[in-house]
Amino acid sequence: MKSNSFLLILALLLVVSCGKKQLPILGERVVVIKIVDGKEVVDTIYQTVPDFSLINQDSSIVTQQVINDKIYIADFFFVTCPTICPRMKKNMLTIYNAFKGNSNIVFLSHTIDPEHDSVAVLRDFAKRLGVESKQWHFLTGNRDSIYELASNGYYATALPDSTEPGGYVHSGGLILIDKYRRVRGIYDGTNEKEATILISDIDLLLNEKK
Amino acid sequence: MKKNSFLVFIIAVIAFSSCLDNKFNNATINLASGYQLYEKNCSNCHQTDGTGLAQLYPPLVNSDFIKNNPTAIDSIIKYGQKGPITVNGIEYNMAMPSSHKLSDFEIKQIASYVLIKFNKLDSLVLNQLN
Repeated sequence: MKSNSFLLILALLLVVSCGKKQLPILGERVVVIKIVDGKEVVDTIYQTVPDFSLINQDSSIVTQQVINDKIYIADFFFVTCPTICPRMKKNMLTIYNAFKGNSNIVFLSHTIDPEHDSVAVLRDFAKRLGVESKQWHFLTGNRDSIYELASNGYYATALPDSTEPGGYVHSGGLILIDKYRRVRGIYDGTNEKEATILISDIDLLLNEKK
Repeated sequence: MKKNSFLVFIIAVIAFSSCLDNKFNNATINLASGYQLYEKNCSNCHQTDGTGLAQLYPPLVNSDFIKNNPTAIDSIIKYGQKGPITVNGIEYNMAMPSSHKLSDFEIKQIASYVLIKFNKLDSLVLNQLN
Protein backbone atom coordinates (compact mmCIF):
# COMPACT_ATOMS: atom_id res chain seq x y z
CA MET A 1 0.00 0.00 0.00
CA LYS A 2 1.01 3.62 -0.38
CA SER A 3 1.94 4.16 3.29
CA ASN A 4 4.07 0.99 3.30
CA SER A 5 6.20 2.04 0.35
CA PHE A 6 6.48 5.53 1.82
CA LEU A 7 7.82 4.06 5.04
CA LEU A 8 10.19 1.86 3.09
CA ILE A 9 11.58 4.85 1.18
CA LEU A 10 11.92 6.80 4.43
CA ALA A 11 13.78 3.90 6.01
CA LEU A 12 16.12 3.64 3.04
CA LEU A 13 16.81 7.36 3.15
CA LEU A 14 17.65 7.16 6.83
CA VAL A 15 20.03 4.28 6.27
CA VAL A 16 21.76 6.05 3.42
CA SER A 17 22.06 9.36 5.26
CA CYS A 18 23.52 7.57 8.28
CA GLY A 19 26.81 7.75 6.44
CA LYS A 20 30.37 7.71 7.73
CA LYS A 21 31.34 10.09 10.51
CA GLN A 22 32.75 13.34 9.19
CA LEU A 23 35.26 15.29 11.20
CA PRO A 24 34.46 18.97 11.70
CA ILE A 25 36.80 21.70 10.50
CA LEU A 26 37.65 23.84 13.49
CA GLY A 27 38.62 27.47 13.57
CA GLU A 28 37.60 30.63 11.81
CA ARG A 29 36.22 30.52 8.33
CA VAL A 30 35.34 33.07 5.72
CA VAL A 31 32.69 32.56 3.12
CA VAL A 32 33.56 34.11 -0.22
CA ILE A 33 31.66 34.33 -3.44
CA LYS A 34 33.70 33.71 -6.53
CA ILE A 35 32.80 33.94 -10.18
CA VAL A 36 33.64 30.69 -11.93
CA ASP A 37 32.74 30.34 -15.60
CA GLY A 38 30.41 33.30 -15.29
CA LYS A 39 28.53 31.71 -12.40
CA GLU A 40 28.59 32.70 -8.76
CA VAL A 41 30.20 30.03 -6.59
CA VAL A 42 30.20 30.08 -2.82
CA ASP A 43 33.46 28.98 -1.31
CA THR A 44 34.60 28.67 2.27
CA ILE A 45 38.13 29.55 3.23
CA TYR A 46 39.20 27.89 6.44
CA GLN A 47 41.76 29.01 8.95
CA THR A 48 45.00 27.07 8.57
CA VAL A 49 48.02 26.47 10.75
CA PRO A 50 50.58 29.20 10.04
CA ASP A 51 54.11 28.67 8.72
CA PHE A 52 56.75 27.88 11.30
CA SER A 53 60.51 27.38 11.59
CA LEU A 54 61.84 25.35 14.51
CA ILE A 55 64.64 22.86 15.24
CA ASN A 56 64.13 19.18 15.86
CA GLN A 57 66.03 16.62 17.94
CA ASP A 58 68.50 16.02 15.09
CA SER A 59 69.37 19.70 14.92
CA SER A 60 67.52 19.93 11.60
CA ILE A 61 65.50 23.01 10.80
CA VAL A 62 61.89 21.94 10.54
CA THR A 63 59.32 24.08 8.76
CA GLN A 64 55.84 23.58 7.41
CA GLN A 65 57.51 21.63 4.57
CA VAL A 66 57.68 18.60 6.82
CA ILE A 67 53.89 18.49 7.14
CA ASN A 68 53.18 19.38 3.54
CA ASP A 69 50.35 17.20 2.27
CA LYS A 70 50.42 15.14 5.44
CA ILE A 71 48.04 14.48 8.29
CA TYR A 72 49.71 15.29 11.57
CA ILE A 73 49.24 15.41 15.31
CA ALA A 74 50.64 18.33 17.30
CA ASP A 75 51.08 18.78 21.00
CA PHE A 76 52.85 21.05 23.47
CA PHE A 77 54.81 19.66 26.37
CA PHE A 78 58.07 19.96 28.25
CA VAL A 79 60.53 17.26 29.27
CA THR A 80 60.55 17.91 33.03
CA CYS A 81 56.76 18.04 33.26
CA PRO A 82 55.66 15.97 36.29
CA THR A 83 51.92 16.05 35.76
CA ILE A 84 50.13 15.58 32.44
CA CYS A 85 52.93 15.18 29.90
CA PRO A 86 53.91 11.60 30.78
CA ARG A 87 50.33 10.48 30.16
CA MET A 88 50.19 12.50 26.95
CA LYS A 89 53.40 10.94 25.73
CA LYS A 90 52.19 7.46 26.58
CA ASN A 91 48.98 7.96 24.63
CA MET A 92 50.81 9.61 21.78
CA LEU A 93 53.18 6.64 21.68
CA THR A 94 50.21 4.33 21.29
CA ILE A 95 48.99 6.43 18.38
CA TYR A 96 52.50 6.58 16.89
CA ASN A 97 52.80 2.80 17.03
CA ALA A 98 49.44 2.47 15.28
CA PHE A 99 50.78 4.47 12.32
CA LYS A 100 54.49 3.77 12.55
CA GLY A 101 56.10 3.83 9.14
CA ASN A 102 53.06 5.41 7.49
CA SER A 103 54.59 8.29 5.55
CA ASN A 104 51.25 10.14 5.50
CA ILE A 105 51.24 10.65 9.27
CA VAL A 106 53.63 12.91 11.18
CA PHE A 107 53.91 13.88 14.86
CA LEU A 108 55.08 17.30 16.05
CA SER A 109 55.79 17.74 19.75
CA HIS A 110 56.68 21.33 20.63
CA THR A 111 58.47 22.17 23.84
CA ILE A 112 57.11 25.08 25.85
CA ASP A 113 60.34 25.20 27.88
CA PRO A 114 62.95 25.77 25.17
CA GLU A 115 65.50 27.07 27.68
CA HIS A 116 65.73 23.66 29.33
CA ASP A 117 64.65 21.46 26.43
CA SER A 118 67.58 21.93 24.12
CA VAL A 119 68.21 19.80 21.04
CA ALA A 120 70.39 17.47 23.14
CA VAL A 121 67.70 17.07 25.81
CA LEU A 122 65.04 16.40 23.17
CA ARG A 123 67.26 13.93 21.36
CA ASP A 124 67.78 11.98 24.58
CA PHE A 125 64.05 12.12 25.31
CA ALA A 126 63.06 10.92 21.84
CA LYS A 127 65.65 8.15 21.95
CA ARG A 128 64.37 6.96 25.32
CA LEU A 129 60.80 7.07 24.08
CA GLY A 130 62.00 4.93 21.18
CA VAL A 131 60.74 6.91 18.21
CA GLU A 132 62.08 7.79 14.74
CA SER A 133 62.80 11.46 14.20
CA LYS A 134 61.63 11.23 10.57
CA GLN A 135 58.10 10.67 11.77
CA TRP A 136 58.04 12.22 15.22
CA HIS A 137 59.76 15.59 15.54
CA PHE A 138 60.52 17.09 18.93
CA LEU A 139 60.76 20.80 18.28
CA THR A 140 62.46 23.61 20.10
CA GLY A 141 63.25 27.18 19.14
CA ASN A 142 62.26 30.72 19.93
CA ARG A 143 59.97 30.80 22.96
CA ASP A 144 57.65 33.54 21.70
CA SER A 145 57.25 31.85 18.33
CA ILE A 146 56.30 28.59 19.97
CA TYR A 147 53.80 30.20 22.33
CA GLU A 148 52.23 32.19 19.51
CA LEU A 149 52.02 29.08 17.36
CA ALA A 150 50.34 27.26 20.24
CA SER A 151 47.59 29.79 20.79
CA ASN A 152 47.03 31.15 17.28
CA GLY A 153 47.71 28.05 15.27
CA TYR A 154 46.52 25.25 17.48
CA TYR A 155 44.19 26.77 20.09
CA ALA A 156 46.47 25.28 22.72
CA THR A 157 47.26 27.17 25.89
CA ALA A 158 50.75 27.24 27.30
CA LEU A 159 51.73 29.67 30.00
CA PRO A 160 54.53 29.88 32.54
CA ASP A 161 53.06 29.56 36.01
CA SER A 162 55.31 29.41 39.04
CA THR A 163 52.55 27.93 41.21
CA GLU A 164 52.06 24.97 38.90
CA PRO A 165 54.18 21.83 39.45
CA GLY A 166 56.88 21.98 36.79
CA GLY A 167 56.39 25.70 36.29
CA TYR A 168 54.07 25.65 33.29
CA VAL A 169 50.38 25.21 32.79
CA HIS A 170 49.28 23.84 29.48
CA SER A 171 46.25 22.26 27.99
CA GLY A 172 47.39 18.70 27.32
CA GLY A 173 45.53 18.57 24.05
CA LEU A 174 46.47 16.45 21.06
CA ILE A 175 45.57 18.40 17.96
CA LEU A 176 44.71 16.64 14.71
CA ILE A 177 45.46 18.51 11.50
CA ASP A 178 44.56 17.43 7.99
CA LYS A 179 46.77 17.72 4.91
CA TYR A 180 45.34 21.15 4.14
CA ARG A 181 46.60 22.43 7.50
CA ARG A 182 43.12 22.70 8.95
CA VAL A 183 42.51 21.67 12.57
CA ARG A 184 40.05 18.79 12.58
CA GLY A 185 39.97 17.82 16.22
CA ILE A 186 41.36 18.43 19.68
CA TYR A 187 41.66 15.44 22.00
CA ASP A 188 42.48 15.16 25.69
CA GLY A 189 45.97 13.67 25.62
CA THR A 190 45.67 12.33 29.15
CA ASN A 191 42.63 10.26 28.31
CA GLU A 192 43.19 6.79 26.82
CA LYS A 193 39.68 6.61 25.37
CA GLU A 194 40.18 9.87 23.48
CA ALA A 195 43.46 8.53 22.14
CA THR A 196 41.57 5.54 20.74
CA ILE A 197 39.03 7.88 19.13
CA LEU A 198 41.91 9.88 17.69
CA ILE A 199 43.30 6.75 16.05
CA SER A 200 40.00 6.04 14.30
CA ASP A 201 39.66 9.71 13.35
CA ILE A 202 43.09 9.58 11.72
CA ASP A 203 41.83 6.62 9.69
CA LEU A 204 38.82 8.71 8.69
CA LEU A 205 41.07 11.51 7.49
CA LEU A 206 43.27 9.08 5.58
CA ASN A 207 40.22 8.00 3.63
CA GLU A 208 38.69 11.44 3.26
CA LYS A 209 38.31 13.02 -0.14
CA LYS A 210 38.33 16.82 -0.25
CA MET B 1 23.40 -11.22 88.26
CA LYS B 2 23.02 -13.13 85.00
CA LYS B 3 21.84 -10.08 83.08
CA ASN B 4 24.78 -8.00 84.26
CA SER B 5 27.37 -10.64 83.48
CA PHE B 6 25.81 -11.17 80.08
CA LEU B 7 26.01 -7.44 79.44
CA VAL B 8 29.63 -7.40 80.53
CA PHE B 9 30.25 -10.36 78.23
CA ILE B 10 28.67 -8.54 75.27
CA ILE B 11 30.70 -5.41 75.98
CA ALA B 12 33.84 -7.48 76.21
CA VAL B 13 33.12 -9.17 72.88
CA ILE B 14 32.49 -5.85 71.21
CA ALA B 15 35.60 -4.32 72.73
CA PHE B 16 37.71 -7.30 71.74
CA SER B 17 36.34 -7.48 68.19
CA SER B 18 36.72 -3.76 67.67
CA CYS B 19 40.30 -4.20 68.76
CA LEU B 20 40.74 -6.90 66.11
CA ASP B 21 38.90 -4.73 63.58
CA ASN B 22 41.33 -1.90 64.14
CA LYS B 23 44.30 -4.10 63.34
CA PHE B 24 42.62 -5.42 60.21
CA ASN B 25 41.38 -1.95 59.29
CA ASN B 26 44.84 -0.48 59.61
CA ALA B 27 46.23 -3.01 57.14
CA THR B 28 43.38 -2.45 54.67
CA ILE B 29 43.49 1.30 55.02
CA ASN B 30 47.17 1.32 54.27
CA LEU B 31 46.86 -0.50 50.97
CA ALA B 32 43.73 1.36 49.94
CA SER B 33 45.26 4.71 50.90
CA GLY B 34 48.53 3.66 49.32
CA TYR B 35 46.70 2.92 46.08
CA GLN B 36 44.92 6.29 46.13
CA LEU B 37 48.12 8.18 46.91
CA TYR B 38 49.97 6.23 44.23
CA GLU B 39 47.28 6.98 41.65
CA LYS B 40 47.34 10.66 42.46
CA ASN B 41 51.08 11.20 42.73
CA CYS B 42 52.91 8.45 40.90
CA SER B 43 50.74 6.87 38.22
CA ASN B 44 51.15 9.67 35.70
CA CYS B 45 54.74 8.60 35.08
CA HIS B 46 54.91 5.05 36.41
CA GLN B 47 51.38 4.16 35.19
CA THR B 48 48.52 2.64 37.18
CA ASP B 49 49.88 -0.84 36.57
CA GLY B 50 53.42 0.18 37.51
CA THR B 51 54.92 -0.67 34.12
CA GLY B 52 56.52 2.74 33.52
CA LEU B 53 57.03 4.17 30.04
CA ALA B 54 59.57 3.03 27.44
CA GLN B 55 63.06 4.01 28.58
CA LEU B 56 61.81 7.19 30.17
CA TYR B 57 60.20 6.11 33.43
CA PRO B 58 61.23 2.82 35.01
CA PRO B 59 58.76 0.11 35.89
CA LEU B 60 57.96 -0.46 39.53
CA VAL B 61 56.41 -3.86 39.04
CA ASN B 62 58.81 -6.82 39.45
CA SER B 63 61.67 -4.39 39.76
CA ASP B 64 65.08 -5.82 40.67
CA PHE B 65 66.10 -2.37 41.92
CA ILE B 66 63.19 -2.27 44.36
CA LYS B 67 63.72 -5.86 45.49
CA ASN B 68 67.38 -5.11 46.17
CA ASN B 69 66.73 -1.74 47.84
CA PRO B 70 63.35 -1.99 49.58
CA THR B 71 64.24 0.51 52.29
CA ALA B 72 65.38 3.11 49.76
CA ILE B 73 61.88 3.65 48.36
CA ASP B 74 60.78 6.06 51.10
CA SER B 75 63.80 8.32 50.50
CA ILE B 76 63.43 8.24 46.74
CA ILE B 77 59.81 9.28 47.00
CA LYS B 78 60.62 11.99 49.53
CA TYR B 79 63.77 13.47 47.99
CA GLY B 80 63.47 12.50 44.37
CA GLN B 81 66.04 10.75 42.27
CA LYS B 82 68.72 12.07 39.91
CA GLY B 83 71.30 10.42 37.75
CA PRO B 84 71.35 7.07 35.98
CA ILE B 85 69.58 4.10 37.49
CA THR B 86 69.39 0.57 36.12
CA VAL B 87 66.18 -1.39 36.51
CA ASN B 88 65.81 -4.91 35.11
CA GLY B 89 68.83 -4.38 32.89
CA ILE B 90 67.69 -1.07 31.35
CA GLU B 91 69.26 2.27 32.18
CA TYR B 92 67.02 5.24 33.00
CA ASN B 93 68.13 8.80 33.53
CA MET B 94 65.16 11.12 33.94
CA ALA B 95 65.12 13.12 37.16
CA MET B 96 62.28 12.19 39.49
CA PRO B 97 60.86 15.16 41.41
CA SER B 98 60.77 15.21 45.22
CA SER B 99 57.46 15.04 47.09
CA HIS B 100 57.56 17.87 49.57
CA LYS B 101 53.77 17.91 49.76
CA LEU B 102 53.49 14.35 51.09
CA SER B 103 53.78 13.53 54.78
CA ASP B 104 56.17 10.82 55.94
CA PHE B 105 53.19 8.60 56.72
CA GLU B 106 51.75 9.08 53.24
CA ILE B 107 55.11 8.23 51.73
CA LYS B 108 55.23 5.08 53.82
CA GLN B 109 51.79 4.10 52.53
CA ILE B 110 52.89 4.58 48.92
CA ALA B 111 56.10 2.63 49.54
CA SER B 112 54.11 -0.20 51.17
CA TYR B 113 51.75 -0.27 48.22
CA VAL B 114 54.61 -0.43 45.74
CA LEU B 115 56.39 -3.15 47.70
CA ILE B 116 53.35 -5.32 48.35
CA LYS B 117 51.30 -4.77 45.21
CA PHE B 118 54.02 -4.48 42.60
CA ASN B 119 56.78 -6.58 44.10
CA LYS B 120 54.86 -9.09 46.13
CA LEU B 121 56.87 -8.38 49.27
CA ASP B 122 55.25 -10.08 52.20
CA SER B 123 53.66 -7.68 54.66
CA LEU B 124 55.42 -9.54 57.48
CA VAL B 125 58.77 -8.84 55.81
CA LEU B 126 57.60 -5.25 55.40
CA ASN B 127 56.97 -4.98 59.13
CA GLN B 128 60.44 -6.32 59.81
CA LEU B 129 61.92 -3.70 57.48
CA ASN B 130 59.99 -0.98 59.32
